[in-house]
Amino acid sequence: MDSTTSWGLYTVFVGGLGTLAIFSFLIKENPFYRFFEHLFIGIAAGLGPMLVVRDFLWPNIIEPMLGRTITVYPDGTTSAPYQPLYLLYLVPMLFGCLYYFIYSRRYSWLAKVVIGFTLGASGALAIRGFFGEVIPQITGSFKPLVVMDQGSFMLAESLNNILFVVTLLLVLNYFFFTFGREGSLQGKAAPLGRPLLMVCFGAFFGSTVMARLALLVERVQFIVIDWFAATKTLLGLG
Amino acid sequence: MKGRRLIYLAMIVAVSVPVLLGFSLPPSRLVSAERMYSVVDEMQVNPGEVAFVWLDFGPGTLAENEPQAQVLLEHLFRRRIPVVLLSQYQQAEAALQRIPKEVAESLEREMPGQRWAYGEAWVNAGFRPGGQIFIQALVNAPDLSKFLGRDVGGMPIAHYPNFSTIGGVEHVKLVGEITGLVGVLDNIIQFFQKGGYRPTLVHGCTSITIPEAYIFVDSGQLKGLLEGIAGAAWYSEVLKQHHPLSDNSRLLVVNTALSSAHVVLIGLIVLGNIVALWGRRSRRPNG
Amino acid sequence: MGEPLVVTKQPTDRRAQIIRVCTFLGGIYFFLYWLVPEKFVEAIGLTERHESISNGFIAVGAMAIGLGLFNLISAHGDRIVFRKQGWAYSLALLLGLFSMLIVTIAQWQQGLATTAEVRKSQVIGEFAQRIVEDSEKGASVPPLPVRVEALRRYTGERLAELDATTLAAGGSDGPFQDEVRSAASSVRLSLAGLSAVGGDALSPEGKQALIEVAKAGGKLGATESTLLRNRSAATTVHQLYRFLYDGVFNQLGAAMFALLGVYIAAAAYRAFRIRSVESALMMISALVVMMGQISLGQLISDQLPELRQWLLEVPNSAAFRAIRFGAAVAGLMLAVRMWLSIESKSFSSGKGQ
Repeated sequence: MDSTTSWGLYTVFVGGLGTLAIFSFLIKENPFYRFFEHLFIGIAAGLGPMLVVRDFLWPNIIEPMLGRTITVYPDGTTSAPYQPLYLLYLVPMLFGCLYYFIYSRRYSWLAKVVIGFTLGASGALAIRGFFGEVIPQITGSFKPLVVMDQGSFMLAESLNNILFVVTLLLVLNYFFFTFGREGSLQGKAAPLGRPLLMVCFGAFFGSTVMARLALLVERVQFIVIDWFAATKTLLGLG
Repeated sequence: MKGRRLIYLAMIVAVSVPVLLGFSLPPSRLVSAERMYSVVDEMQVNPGEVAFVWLDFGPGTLAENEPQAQVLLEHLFRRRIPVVLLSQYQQAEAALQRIPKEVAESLEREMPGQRWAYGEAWVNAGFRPGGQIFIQALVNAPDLSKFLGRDVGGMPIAHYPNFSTIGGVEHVKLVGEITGLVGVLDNIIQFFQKGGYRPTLVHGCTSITIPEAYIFVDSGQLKGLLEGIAGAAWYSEVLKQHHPLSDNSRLLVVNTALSSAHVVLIGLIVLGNIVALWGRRSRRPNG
Repeated sequence: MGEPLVVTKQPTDRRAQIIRVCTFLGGIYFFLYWLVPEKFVEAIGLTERHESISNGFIAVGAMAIGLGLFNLISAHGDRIVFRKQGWAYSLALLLGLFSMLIVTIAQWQQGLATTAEVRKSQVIGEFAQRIVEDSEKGASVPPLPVRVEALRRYTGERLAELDATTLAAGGSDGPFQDEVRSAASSVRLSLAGLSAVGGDALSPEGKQALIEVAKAGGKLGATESTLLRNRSAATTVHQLYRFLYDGVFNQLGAAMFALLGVYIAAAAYRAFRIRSVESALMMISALVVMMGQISLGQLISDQLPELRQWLLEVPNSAAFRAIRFGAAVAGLMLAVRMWLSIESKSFSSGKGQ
């Protein structure tokens, strides 16, 4: 944020005030906190739809339909002929309007038509995405258990690969509930997956700590450095 | 209730002290950030080829993702690799505009006489909704400049010389995905591929997704990883080793404040266990 | 003998069928586009249409943008009108919502006006380039001298307009104005070279002269764009947008998430206890990761970051991959069931039908 202009100073000041309001929740819930919480939700709700219109619907759908992407040159020729096929965009737009039948008791099933259509598209893309993402994961799991490099045996790499494959199999086995658990080798091996999962969850917790604390550091830095400086300037102390 | 507030206070004090004093310690050496540095540094880019960097973060994860975006863009700008910036997340708008501008200004201050201008060093293609549908359409487009159309300012991207002849997706030499959101990295991994083409994909993740990101590093789907602020701090340190005038002082102070908060938190965990153990012992019946 | 049994289809069945068919149709395009060989897709001309079709799909979803607005306005408007408990907070919410809507629309319109202004200069370069391309292709367009004259006349008028409007205004954007002036001078200079374009066929010298105009025109458009955007950044509308976006939205969003930073500390103190071998393993793993990623860990021992790296790369990756496999297979099954409307009774039937 640019705090060299008066607008910038007020922007930083209000930002700091809002931050303190949110932090006041740590003491107890209060009207100051609730006011800024509601303001935040309102602004977020106002911003989202406008960005979809500004960044997608207008330039990608409406402008081509209206022929506004075509440039008329000084000699009267044009950059491209008008494509009437763009008018077909009206079909998905009207189809998308079926969402609003959700407010009608009688015709709410029409909203389900368009929701179904969207879910269908997401489902088909998810099937395709599965193969794009998971196949390299599967092939990457077939690690050589004996690693040789230029004829010499690599002990550390081999042990790592063995540990990797064993952990993978044991944790997969732990989550395998479909059939034949009790008494079988698979059932007996299942508890071995738990401690390995705990190691994973520990790493997850350690990482989560850094994520959460980073957010706190950024806010404290903003208050201690930027907000104090802006407030001092606004009060004529700086 | 009172005890909980004391913990809150301890955390805020632990974070505030290094920030107030401007005190910094050298960051921890993170191998994954070093690998990412090498990937970006050794990349061969021909005229007409570009890097795509997705900034998919909003205020919620700005604290971690912003330093990552800064160091990656600084490196790409230093190497004069043209960058197309875009986002799958509508709240990233401010980051898309502010971060590259600040990085360019900082480099111009460092190297007077040199310029990193908008339209030459980078273009901002803005928020692109549609997620998977958008990405699969993008990779299938025969001409990415035309496909992307206009930048956020309404200018045709093909109008900027460095971005006028990108061609197909094969000319995207590097893809950077900086995000703290669930699913957006998956969108890139799953759909940013065509025929035999797989991008050199690097990822800046928030710390909470580090354990998950490692599975993609292992499989080779990710060629580099920046792990939260710590990753960005070490990347900036490596940048500084190669470019001594690079200024990472503010990032190092943040990283130190983060360390200080970690120490207090570890202390709290230890204290909590001691108190619990003490409680169990005192409840145990004598004899 | 009772009445013969007549089975009639209820309207609800037909509606459920329509929903199922639409759900299937929603996915079939992307599924086939993926399965069908690329050569076939190209042969039937789908490659060029794919972008527009994808945009159509996105447009369907984009039309839902009003749903959230409508819900919020009706719910909170209701609370304000009937003075229900917390109506003042609802007022704050709607105030934020409408302020952001209005300011974003105003800023967008300002951006469109700037773009339209810059386009006038961009046309110079584009038109010059187009003349060259059309001449080489032999397209049916007005004769070359007519086009070149039109280019010369338009450019002259545009440069005069620039001098009278954009460059006449004073202000603190002197360096940007200088860049536009310099670009405008280059365009004027390049226009002088257009005298080399003579006759109906484009000579190599004429082509070079037009390319010079195209380059200079492109530069003019870019510099003017920078100047006008710099100016619009100083307008009240833009400052208001930044105030709401940077000052309120960004700061409050960051503050909300920052609360988690202190909550996790309190939670760790109260709940992260060693009670068994498994919880001890979890604790050790967490401590290694935490110490390995901070400056202090590096100061204690160089081995800590390496140990952290090993822990994340080997046991963590293996265990997480197993979890991921399970989730991915479940996701695949869910996707297939969703697309084919298997077991979706709760979705395709109900009161509303």
